Formats: sequence, C-alpha cells, structure tokens
Amino acid sequence: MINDISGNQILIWGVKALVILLLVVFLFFTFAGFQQARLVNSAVKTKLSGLINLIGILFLISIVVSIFLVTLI
Amino acid sequence: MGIEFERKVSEIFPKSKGGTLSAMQVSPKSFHFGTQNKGETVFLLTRAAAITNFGWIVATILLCILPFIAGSIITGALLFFRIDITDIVTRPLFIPVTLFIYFILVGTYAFSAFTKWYFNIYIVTSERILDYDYVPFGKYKISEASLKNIEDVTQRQIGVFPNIFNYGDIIIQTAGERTQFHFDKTPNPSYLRDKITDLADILKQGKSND
Repeated sequence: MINDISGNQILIWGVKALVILLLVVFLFFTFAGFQQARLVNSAVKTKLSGLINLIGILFLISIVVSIFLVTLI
Repeated sequence: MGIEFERKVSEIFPKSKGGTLSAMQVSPKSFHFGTQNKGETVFLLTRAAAITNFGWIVATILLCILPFIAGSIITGALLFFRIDITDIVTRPLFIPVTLFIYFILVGTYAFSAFTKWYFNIYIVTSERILDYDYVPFGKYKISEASLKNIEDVTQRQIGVFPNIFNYGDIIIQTAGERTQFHFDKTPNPSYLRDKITDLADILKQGKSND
C-alpha cells in the first residue's frame, strides 16, 4: 500500500500541513488581536464600534473556513 | 465655575464639527469613553491626520493587484525553467483557496492598520486629557492628566509632509507623574495647541477664583 503513495503526494500533504499550521498560528494571533480590539472598543464607544467587532468576527470565521478549505484541496 | 465656565467654553468651541471618521472632532456628539465621569464633556477628539493613512492604503491596493501580476510572472518563470506543476494547480479549489487565504492576509493587514489609526486617539474633556495608545497585536495603554496640571503646550511640525498637509505633534508638559504627553501627527496642531491652552487657562482661573 505504501507503494501507492507517490513522492508528489507526500510533498502536497507536507505543504498542506505547513499551510494549516501557519493558518492556525495566524488564527491565534488574529484572535488575540481581536480580543485586544474588543477591549479598546469597549473603552471607546463610537458609531463604528459595532461594525469593527463584526468585521473582526468575520475575519476569524474566514480563517477557520480557510483551514477547512486547505484540507479539501 | 458652572455657568461662567460653560459660557467661556462655548466661546472656545462654538459648534460641533467633524464626522465619525474625521481626524479631529470638536464636541463629538456620539462619542463616549469607558471612564467618562458624570457631567464630563468631551471637547476634542483627535487622532493622526488622515493623510498619514496614505502608506497602508497604497500598500493594500498594490497587494490586491499583486496576485494578478505575480500569476503571469510565476507562469512565465515555470515555463522558462520547465517546471511542471500542472498536477497541483489543476486540483479543484487550488486557485480559489490560495486567493482566499491571500486576501484574508491582506484584509487583516489593512484592518489592523485602520484600527491602529482609528483607536490611537487623544481626548480633551472638561476635566482632563487622555492619550489612548494602541498597537494591534501589541500594546494598549491609556494615560491621562488633569487639565489643571498642564504647564506648557508645544507644537512641532518637522519635515516636508507635515508642513504641506498641516499636521504635527503636540507635546504637553504636565505637573503630574507622567510629565509629557505626545499627541502625534494631529491635524491642525496650531488650533489644537491654542484650544488646550485656553481650556487649561479657564480651569486654572476658575481654581484661583474659588
């Protein structure tokens, strides 16, 4: 069965794993940034506060979706 | 100090000015901050001049165009070096997912640059000055000083762009624990310096009359 896996496929899975790892790290930092922005947003209330929170949530969801999409390629 | 103070302040700030995205807002109506005291009025809300956003806006536009330019360059290079990646590129979803991830990264860069500008604010109220120092993914610091403690306000415009676009730094010396406050790259620094000094003088006069 091991003979069925070509070198090209191993390379592809390696790259995929690396991209997923980088996206997870990116997700962590984005989440930390989002929490920080929420903290500032609650300290300073402007007309855009709600919109900024919403955009932050959309970014987080997009990163999670992209991790799943990478596994599908 | 009440009615007389309000009369003098209304002479300094005759009317409300500036929208939500303005770099300088005079008597902003729909703005509140977390530690605002009862009866405390926000007179000035300022952040770095809008022109200081030019760099990241141009960088974002270039980064949005980049995949379309880079795509043809990479294809040309692969053909030149006879590298065959047809197997990878023809996989379903490869190009859409790659572009999706790329634009998330670009979007995050633009959004963090925007929030850095938007949340780095300087507030002048009827009681104090506040300096919100925010760096996305980094630090978040708030400093404040009483208007009564202001001793000296200095305006500084160094360089070609600050003079062309009329923005600069305001350095406020206080008698408090933190002796210097820097309001960086604020629009119309002369106006800001003048208003802060006037406001501090009114409060000091009120204090000496009491």
